[in-house]
Amino acid sequence: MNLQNVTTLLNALRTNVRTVIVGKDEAIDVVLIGLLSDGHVLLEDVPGVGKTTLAKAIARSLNCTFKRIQGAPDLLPSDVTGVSYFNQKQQEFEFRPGPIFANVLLVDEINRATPRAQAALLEAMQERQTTVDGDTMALPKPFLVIATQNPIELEGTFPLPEAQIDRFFARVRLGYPSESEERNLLMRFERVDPLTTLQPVAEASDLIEAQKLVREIRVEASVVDYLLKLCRKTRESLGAQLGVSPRGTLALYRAVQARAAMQGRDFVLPDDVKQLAPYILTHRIVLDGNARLRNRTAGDILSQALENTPAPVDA
Amino acid sequence: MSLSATPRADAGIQSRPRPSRIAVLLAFALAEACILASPATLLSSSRLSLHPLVVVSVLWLVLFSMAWARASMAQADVPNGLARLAALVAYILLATTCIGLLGLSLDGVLIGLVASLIIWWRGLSLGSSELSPQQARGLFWLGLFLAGGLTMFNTHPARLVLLFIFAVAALVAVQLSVRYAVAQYNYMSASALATPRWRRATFLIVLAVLGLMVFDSALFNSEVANTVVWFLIVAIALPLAFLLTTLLSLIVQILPLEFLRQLLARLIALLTSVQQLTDGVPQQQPETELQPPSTMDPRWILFGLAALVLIAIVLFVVRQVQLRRQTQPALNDTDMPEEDQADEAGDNALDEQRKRSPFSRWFAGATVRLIYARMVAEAGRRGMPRARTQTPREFMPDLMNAFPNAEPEVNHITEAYEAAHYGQLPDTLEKLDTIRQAWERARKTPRPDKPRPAPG
Repeated sequence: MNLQNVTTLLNALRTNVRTVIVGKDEAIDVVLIGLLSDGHVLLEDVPGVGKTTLAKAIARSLNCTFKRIQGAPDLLPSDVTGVSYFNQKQQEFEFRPGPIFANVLLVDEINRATPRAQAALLEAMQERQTTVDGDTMALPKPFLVIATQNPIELEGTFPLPEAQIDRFFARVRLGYPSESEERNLLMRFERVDPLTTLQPVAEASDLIEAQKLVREIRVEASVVDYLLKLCRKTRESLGAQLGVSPRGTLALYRAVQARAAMQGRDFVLPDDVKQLAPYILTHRIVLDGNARLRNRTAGDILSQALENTPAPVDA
Repeated sequence: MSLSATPRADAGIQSRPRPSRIAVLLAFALAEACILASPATLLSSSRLSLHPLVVVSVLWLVLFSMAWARASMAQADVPNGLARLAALVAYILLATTCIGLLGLSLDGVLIGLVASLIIWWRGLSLGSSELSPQQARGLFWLGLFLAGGLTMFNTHPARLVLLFIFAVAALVAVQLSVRYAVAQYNYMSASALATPRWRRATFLIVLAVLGLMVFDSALFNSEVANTVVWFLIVAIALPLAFLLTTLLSLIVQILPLEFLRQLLARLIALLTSVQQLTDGVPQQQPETELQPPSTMDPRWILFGLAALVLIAIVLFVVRQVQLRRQTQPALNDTDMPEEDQADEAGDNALDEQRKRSPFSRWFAGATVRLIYARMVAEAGRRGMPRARTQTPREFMPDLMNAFPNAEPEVNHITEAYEAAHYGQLPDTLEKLDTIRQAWERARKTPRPDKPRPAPG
């Protein structure tokens, strides 16, 4: 597989997903970048904007296994990872794999699950393995977690801890569609749900190959410096209790490589860093009390960092 | 190697015996050995007791062994680490031998190190080269300049024999490499087939040797020729003295004081002798007087430096001619079948990649970056300075406003700049001219009527 194949693959995926999701091209691209960078995506928005549909559309387009977990207060870790039960016929314990053993895992309303259940995802998301009854089992490749959460209704929810949220490669907010997009949506869903007729356009093995190739995209030294300065500035910013973690820096590095590949380039531009920083970095920034009182957001901190970081240009 | 689609069978060369790679390599190695041994004619017998022809023989053996070992290792797919170790051992052996032959004084060590490095490099390069006819021809002309130039400035009795051996070896190398390439690749360009035949080759050798003899004689016996050469030496010595001073200032910071004192004494001696040369008074020394082993005759240092400058100039000119030839379309390719044209295009593309040196690519990239920086500066003068956080793409609309009616040019330059700065060293050697022209066109566009305030 070469760069052209990767670009073609991503274009095919994007076109396929667009038949279901109307508008939201940028969000689709970020999810695909997450997919290509072997990262997990958190979709955060109000109900009914297409978060679950987007996750399903991507899973179907890839022709890989798809499982879903519905976040609820009574969700147990064994409901996520699987359980060992005693088979009376065989007179031995058997392991029944949980939904986590899938290529694409949709964790719907993740913040409604208890911290115990959320913690069951920690090992799986970072180390691509899960441990049940002392046995460690590798998860299938590729492994992508797409989680959704509703930022409005907070009663009865368990906000994701920093360790958990940092494991998400990107956070995407879909937002409401525009009037024309919504009109288009009505027409498209008038008779049949396009998700039911969606055909796969790529195999999981293609994606694994593409993920390997993306790591070879060139990031020039000055762009690396730019990226590093930007991430470090978020740590030094007034109003930020916690800045971007080194894992966040690495995620941004992988993301810009994937964006370059998506656009058919074998090198990264500073524009890639600027475009992707809001999706990759903002959910990793934790505001202090003063900033919250002044209604500042993580986006403001990042914007400030971007305004104070010179772009690597000869001039 | 540039191959075009002239079928070998049609050329009637297939019936000729195919020379082995060893024979071609031997011819190349002999020619190179002569070039490398030519500076030995400059050394006094107190410095190097070996006869130059012995030096040629030893060098021939060394170059051939190294080249053959290198080629064999490449064919046998020897691991890189082992190959590097072998190369290192070869260099250590060479360096110790050279230093041993030249003596353990400071200049002996320096000359020995440089000489061994050059021999080592040439040996390894020969082993990995294609031994093409073009390379052999280049070797012939370059060697004629180098060996001829070096042997011209002395009266060593072996110099003409050395030149003769070189000329014969180089022309044999041309002949053998043509046949080898024809047998190897099945077809050969028309220009490669038009190599000198044996009669022509003999005539050329005789002409070259005679010419050199006449020039040599004139130089050493004619006062006019001597004066011209001294003037040339002074003209070359002045810029070299500047370079030497710069080098010294760097050395001062890293070398011990005693060493520097010795070096300064040598420099003063060198400058004094240059002064004597410019005054037209050759340094007369009685033959009976023994020179101290650590003192070198300053004249041949100058000759050596002059030769280096000459080599650099010749290499530059040859490279420029090569580049010009590459850009010119082949006249005899118009009636070629499509398949052959495609093959040749592939070969040419490969050749382009192979021949494009890192320096030329770096130069192309640096030029594109410079043009972009000039464009940004000009945009600033036109009232649209770049904010320091703006990326080239973000700044492009402002550039288009600063250079009205030059949108394609601005776009072209910005894209080339992105590739040059953020991408791998760009493939802009051919496009460099178009980028320059785009900048010239953009620069000449009228200024916008109402400059916008500076962003940020």
